[in-house]
Amino acid sequence: MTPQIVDRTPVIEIMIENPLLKKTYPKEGAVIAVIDTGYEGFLLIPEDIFNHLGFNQLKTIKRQLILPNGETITSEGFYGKIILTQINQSREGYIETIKNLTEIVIGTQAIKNLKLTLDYCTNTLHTKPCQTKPP
Amino acid sequence: MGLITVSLNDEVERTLRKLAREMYGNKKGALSKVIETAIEKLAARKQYTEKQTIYRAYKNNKLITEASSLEELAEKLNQRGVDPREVRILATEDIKPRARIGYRMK
Repeated sequence: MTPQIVDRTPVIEIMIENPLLKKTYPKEGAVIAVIDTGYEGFLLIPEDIFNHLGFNQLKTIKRQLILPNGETITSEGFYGKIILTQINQSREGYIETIKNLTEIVIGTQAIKNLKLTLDYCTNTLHTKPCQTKPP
Repeated sequence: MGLITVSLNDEVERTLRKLAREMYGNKKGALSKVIETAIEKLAARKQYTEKQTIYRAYKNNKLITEASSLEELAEKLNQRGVDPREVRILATEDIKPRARIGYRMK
């Protein structure tokens, strides 16, 4: 199993799908996405993966992302699906990309129904679906 | 606590009384408890349904089809012979026009 804390950063294994064009990334197995609770969105992916999934061929939607220093940048995205392979759960949301991004970042929209327990003593991250409906 | 009078057909009334007996025996208020539980469940289900995202596909500003998942939408577009590249997809769950990005981004 892939380590769930890499360089003190929590990560989660996912597969990304574009159901409209029936494209998946990666084709087999999973990739790791960095969990960033400061990101309010669903999923941010590098441009090459966005294009590989064919999202750039669809009528994408643009929006503004606010950086921690207050500056804004424009992202481009479309609706897609992720599979959280370790708990075998899928969810749909707005998958976006920005220029010069090199890692996959998963945000609070995608983890809102999960119980994540971060344990730096054992260097593990436990992921479970919520037992009760979140408020 | 409110007191209301409702009319039930014979079959539903029999089911209600049977459920009350099975769930609460002959205790006082058993019928009310069954109805309360049923209404709570219906309300929770309705709330869940209302929160479900609906995806709508538009071509030339005309609604082509809608679905409750992307896979279903893809299937419906395929059945109509519509290329997903030609449609604009909107969802009932809005995308925030401005969202915060985390400290990992520089």
